[in-house]
Amino acid sequence: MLMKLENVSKVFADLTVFQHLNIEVNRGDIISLVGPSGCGKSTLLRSIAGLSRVSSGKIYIDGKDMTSIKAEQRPVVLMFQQPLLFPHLTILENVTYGLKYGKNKKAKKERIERGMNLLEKVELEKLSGRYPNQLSGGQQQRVALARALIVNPSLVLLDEPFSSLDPELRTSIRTWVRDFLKREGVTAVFVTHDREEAMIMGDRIAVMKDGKFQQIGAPEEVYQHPDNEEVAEMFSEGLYVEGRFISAGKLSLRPVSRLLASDSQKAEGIIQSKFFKYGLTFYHVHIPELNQSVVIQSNSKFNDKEAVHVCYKRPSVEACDTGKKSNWRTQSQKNEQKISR
Amino acid sequence: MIFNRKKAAQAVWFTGCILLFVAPVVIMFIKSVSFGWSWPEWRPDQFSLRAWEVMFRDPALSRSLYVTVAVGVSVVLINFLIAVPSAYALSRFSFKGKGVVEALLMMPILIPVLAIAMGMHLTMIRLGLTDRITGVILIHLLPTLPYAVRVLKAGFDRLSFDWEEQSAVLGAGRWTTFWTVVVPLIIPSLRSTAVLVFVISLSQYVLTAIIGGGKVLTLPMIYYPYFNSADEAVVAGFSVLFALLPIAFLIVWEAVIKGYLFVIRKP
Amino acid sequence: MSSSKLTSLKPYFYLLPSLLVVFFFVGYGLYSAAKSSVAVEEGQPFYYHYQQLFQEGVFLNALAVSIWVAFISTAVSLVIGIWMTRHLVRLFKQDHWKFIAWFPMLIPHFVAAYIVFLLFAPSGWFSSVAFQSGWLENMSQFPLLVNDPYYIGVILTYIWKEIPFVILMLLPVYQEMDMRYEDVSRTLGGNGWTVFKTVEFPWVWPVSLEVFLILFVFVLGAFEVPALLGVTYPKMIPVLAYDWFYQAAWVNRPLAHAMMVFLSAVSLAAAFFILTFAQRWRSRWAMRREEA
Repeated sequence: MLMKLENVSKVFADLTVFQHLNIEVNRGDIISLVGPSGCGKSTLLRSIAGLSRVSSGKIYIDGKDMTSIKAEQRPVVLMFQQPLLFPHLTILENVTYGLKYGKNKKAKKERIERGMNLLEKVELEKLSGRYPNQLSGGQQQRVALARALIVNPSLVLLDEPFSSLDPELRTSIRTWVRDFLKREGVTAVFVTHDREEAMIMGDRIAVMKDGKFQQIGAPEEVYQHPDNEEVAEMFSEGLYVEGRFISAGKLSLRPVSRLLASDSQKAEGIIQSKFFKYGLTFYHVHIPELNQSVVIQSNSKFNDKEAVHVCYKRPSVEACDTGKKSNWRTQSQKNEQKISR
Repeated sequence: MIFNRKKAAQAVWFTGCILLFVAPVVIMFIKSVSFGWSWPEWRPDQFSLRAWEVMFRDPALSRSLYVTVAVGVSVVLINFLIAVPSAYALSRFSFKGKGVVEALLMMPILIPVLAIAMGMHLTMIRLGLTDRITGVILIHLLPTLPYAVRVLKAGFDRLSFDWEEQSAVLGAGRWTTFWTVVVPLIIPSLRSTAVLVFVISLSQYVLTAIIGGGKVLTLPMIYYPYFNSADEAVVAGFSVLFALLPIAFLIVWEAVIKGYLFVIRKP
Repeated sequence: MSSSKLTSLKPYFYLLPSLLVVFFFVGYGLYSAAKSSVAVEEGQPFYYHYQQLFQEGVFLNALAVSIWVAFISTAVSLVIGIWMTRHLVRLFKQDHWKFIAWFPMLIPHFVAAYIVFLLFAPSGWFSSVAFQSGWLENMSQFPLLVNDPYYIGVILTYIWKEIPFVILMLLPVYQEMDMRYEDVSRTLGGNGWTVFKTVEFPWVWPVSLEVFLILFVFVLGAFEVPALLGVTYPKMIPVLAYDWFYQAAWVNRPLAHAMMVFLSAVSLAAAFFILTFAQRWRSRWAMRREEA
């Protein structure tokens, strides 16, 4: 185990950023930390890096208690949203920065050797003499990654490092970064608010909301079997029926006229709109009786405003599959809560 | 069409600015290298370096040139020493009494320095700081420090704290971060501060006169008696010298900064 | 915890040297000036020198001419400075032109005074040009613009020197301003003046007040320029104070101190009112913008 958070909290007099967080991260694992903005994920990352103090709890890295160690002494590197390459230094000088001062100081020859070696790995060795403003956004983030990895950190923290890139570049660079981190065997915590990105990057996913970990697990597990409503809403797609969650993949659409005998469980819905993706047709369906909307893929043709049946398997089967104790609130409870609020 | 109109407007404004701000100084320069240019000739018909020779043959001038530069450079350095931490604190921390502190640091430019210099006069004599270059350097802090703090604070305000944190997570301590990241990134503000402070120090007559007691002869001390002298070309030359000093200072400054960056820039 | 207490003391520690300089010079300097101004002989009230001061016609005239020069030069620099800034910002995306506009900042005030003398004196360049163009027959027909009782030369010097300062202070304001409001105003049919009044004024106003204050107070208390381009009567206050300070046997020293302490008090009062007003304007404006 490489990193462990033990009951970590960050509390101000009038504001709780996060509270009682516990997680263990294995060596070589990439954890995606996903959650809406303001859920405390960035502050948590800064606390692990040592840029922000926690109010209580312990942070262990490599088995050592790091809770009160300064940022520059921790074997952790944080990559920010912006590449933050020092503009007065060349690419090579930027990459070797971490070996020039402080605890990782190395002789000049070794610095250059390791710097060039890493630049080769991020495929930018030809640009070593350039300045940051001569590089594209994606190249800059790759240099920032090389600069972070040169000190052989036990743990790399990435705070939405692709958010400043345009969507197309973003898609290609995140796969590249993931493969790179895996090849180098780097342990990493990756913060994002993008569900898809979290699934692509992470071996495991930690869903954070209101300063708490709502669920920690493999991407598929969290997607198919969200622990609670918050996780389902943020991370999954599907319907809640009678206090159970049904993944969108288990839902199908039938024309009102062509109900099959096996479709014992159904709800009436109305097609809102449709779109095409990955060669398939998807429908936005609103289900008035559940007061929910969901996106369902279907090979049948439907028109806008057409009434349909949304069919699903018995929810109890789902519940048995997971073998988990359900902590779903029923719809009526949820409504009550809303009123009392 | 619109493009051309904008180009034309740009040209007009550019010329206007040159005529207003630069041309008068050029006329002054021409005056200093002219020979026998007087009313009612609108331009000189002969040129000569006579005025400059007269000036530099005067031993008083070269001595006071040295004193002026020594005072100016010292004032710049001391300003950096005390204004950089203050500006950093004002920009990076929130603390009790910040507004009061900012107002206090503005005081020297809100109160006539003459009042303060007159008030300090006897005390400075008692402390043995009058008639000496130390006293002059200290009193020059008064009209310069508020500007130094203001310009540097604006510089720190524009510099995101992320840079310092990025350096810290890469393993550099606070001191290293300051010299290798913060200083290079606020070079524009440092430059503005240095030039502004140098020019203000160069422009002091009355403070130097009172505290220096007529014994610390900076250039303004010998310029004032010159002002009404009959040799107009020499006065012009002397005036040009004042315009050249900040430019020379700036050139030396840039060289020092280049050297500094070269030293901290290693792969 | 002791370390967190240390952290909270850090900013004060960083500010200490600057504050010491200010306290030593401003605090102590003003204190001794005030003390000297109330150093009276037996039987005189402590305000004796102040009483003397206000019975002195020389002083009252100096005060009047100082306020005249300070007000006119500051107001004109401000108006021209704002006008130039708003045009330059729109015309030039790059900042190269800034160096030209800031050039006068590299020139000491007394050299600027010499330049004004060189151009505007009866024997100056403009006079020569006027003669060449046949507008005047001899030097004495040229209007008296330097060493004149209205201090036109001094005012010209300050305007030339302070316009760049105004631009320097206002440039960031204009660069931060959201120019989309201007587009809105223009599409609604506003002309240049309307745009300035409704869009720019609320941003420019507080900074302009501050700049006005700094320049006004500076001109009021500065010795260098009026010493060169002024006249023997009336003198501006700083020149008069310097004269009295060094007059034979130091007899007028208390009077000089009293005058400068009075000027400091006026400056401080002006600063207090203007800054409070600017602050109030700023917060009120911010509130109104939030409501909108």
